[in-house]
Amino acid sequence: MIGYPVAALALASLTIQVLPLLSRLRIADAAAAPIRLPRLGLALLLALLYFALWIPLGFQLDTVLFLIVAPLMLGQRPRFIGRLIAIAIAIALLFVFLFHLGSGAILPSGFLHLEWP
Amino acid sequence: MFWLSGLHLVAEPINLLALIIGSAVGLFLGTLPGLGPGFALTLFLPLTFDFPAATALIFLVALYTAAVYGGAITAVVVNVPGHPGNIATMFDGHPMARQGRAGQAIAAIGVAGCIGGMLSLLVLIFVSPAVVDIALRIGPADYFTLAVFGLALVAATTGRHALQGLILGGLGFLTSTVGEDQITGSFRFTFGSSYLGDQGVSFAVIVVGLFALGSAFLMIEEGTLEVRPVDTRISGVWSGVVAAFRHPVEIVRASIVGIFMGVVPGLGIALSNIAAYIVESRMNPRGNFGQGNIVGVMAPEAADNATLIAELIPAFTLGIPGAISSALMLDAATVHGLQPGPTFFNGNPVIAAFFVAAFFSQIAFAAIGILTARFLARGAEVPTAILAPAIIVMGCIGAYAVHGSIGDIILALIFGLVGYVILKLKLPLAPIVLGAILGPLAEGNYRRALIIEHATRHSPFLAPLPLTLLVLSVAVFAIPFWEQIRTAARERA
Repeated sequence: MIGYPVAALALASLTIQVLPLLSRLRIADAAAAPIRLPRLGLALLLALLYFALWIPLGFQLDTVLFLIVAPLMLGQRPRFIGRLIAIAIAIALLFVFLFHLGSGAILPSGFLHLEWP
Repeated sequence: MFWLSGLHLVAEPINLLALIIGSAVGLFLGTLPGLGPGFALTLFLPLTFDFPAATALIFLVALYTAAVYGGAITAVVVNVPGHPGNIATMFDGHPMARQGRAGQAIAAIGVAGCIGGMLSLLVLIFVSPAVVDIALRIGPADYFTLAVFGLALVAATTGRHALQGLILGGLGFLTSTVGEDQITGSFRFTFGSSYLGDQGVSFAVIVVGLFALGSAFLMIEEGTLEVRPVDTRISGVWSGVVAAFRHPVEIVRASIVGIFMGVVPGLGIALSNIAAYIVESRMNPRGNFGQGNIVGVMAPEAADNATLIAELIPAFTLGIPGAISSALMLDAATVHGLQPGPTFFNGNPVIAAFFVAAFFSQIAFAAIGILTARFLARGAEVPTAILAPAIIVMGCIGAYAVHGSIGDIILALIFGLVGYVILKLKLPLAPIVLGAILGPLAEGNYRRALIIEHATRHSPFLAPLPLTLLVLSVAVFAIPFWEQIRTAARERA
């Protein structure tokens, strides 16, 4: 039971620290704002998107798609798409390799087990 | 003769190849946030079951030592620690990268880590029984006061943000209490969640969330897409090598801190690199620590490598591993037929080969690091639009790898948001990590000490070491506040 008031206290403390930064949004223009809420929202959205698609798509496809789409959403020019695809596939293959080592065939069953799509 | 037989074994072509491949793989795995030496050993230990004992142990010890160096490279280039043991390396390493000195930092870290590891190895080989004897005399009250001293150092790390630092340290401490109580087994702060009840809040998840995801969120929010210039000239790399030899006292001092933290079970590299950084920044108050001081990257990494090797002392001589990675090394040694105990150095050439390989792996990873520094430094040139999503991916996978649990990703995302807020407020992240490391150490040992006090009717806190540490803690705790009062008085005058 004690967890709730403690969590509330920690949240309240953080809110008190952050509020002055947010309040400046009302009096300053967007460029001078200490926290750019739309950009922060985009950051959180991207992270949540990656997490939400982890199970339905499987982590490999999720990683490849995320590493192609997210940079474009963040302003990377589309002419680099070939490079993005290469990076995305390389990173996904790397983790597939590493996790395949740990998926039960070589390492003890259950260690780093992934849900394959 | 004993060491010559080990050298002879290491010099065999297959074992030399194992040494080089182990160093390269360890270095590479270490660069991925959240995947440190423990992960590398867990992944590759079963692969070595069919190897000859010497080859397997040479490969694993090279993997073990190089992984932490890999994490330091990520800390310098991307400002994300590859491993909790690389946190302090970021403080000056990333400012160096932003100044175009990433190559210098990577090379200096390689040499400093190599020296730290070698010094620790000498202690392990020649004086381990005596060192272990001292370490075993450290009781619960000593551990508790040591943790209190560490928490008091939080104030020292944060300078003018001492009060905020202590609040963050308290938050970290509080986080460490989530989950099952160490003494009574009851559940605390779990909100009825079986996930929190089973695992609590893993320290590795906190680090991945705060540092990796927090900085990715900040990068995206600040929306900077500029490519930072990086000095990849070879002169930058060599000046890093030279710098390491120009600061022998600092590196030896950091190595001693690292050896102490490694020998005493339960302290570990997450603490030693921050402790070495604090010691150096306090010993050189006029140094520009936090703004790209090269000692600020060499000291934590020398301490890291010293700790990594020193952790093997209680593991091999007594069978008491102080950390997960040393437990895995102990496991590897026993799987391959070596028996830990006071007679560990019993003349078996495989044991000699293990230590000779540990010695040469220090040189191997430093050499690989120096030779690839120019290439690795280019990591700092990656645009934020590509880097931030890559950090989110690696952070989430790193968090997942801790227990293989989706809950860890959720927790890492929450800590990512907390990390973002702390970074946005320009407050230091180190206190929250120190609080999370020292929390279980302080709490568990305090309660054990109270049990001893109750049973013996004699307070263990009044023994010379705990009493000295408590007095020192009060002094260290008061210093930043005293400095603030003096500055305010001077300004008023």
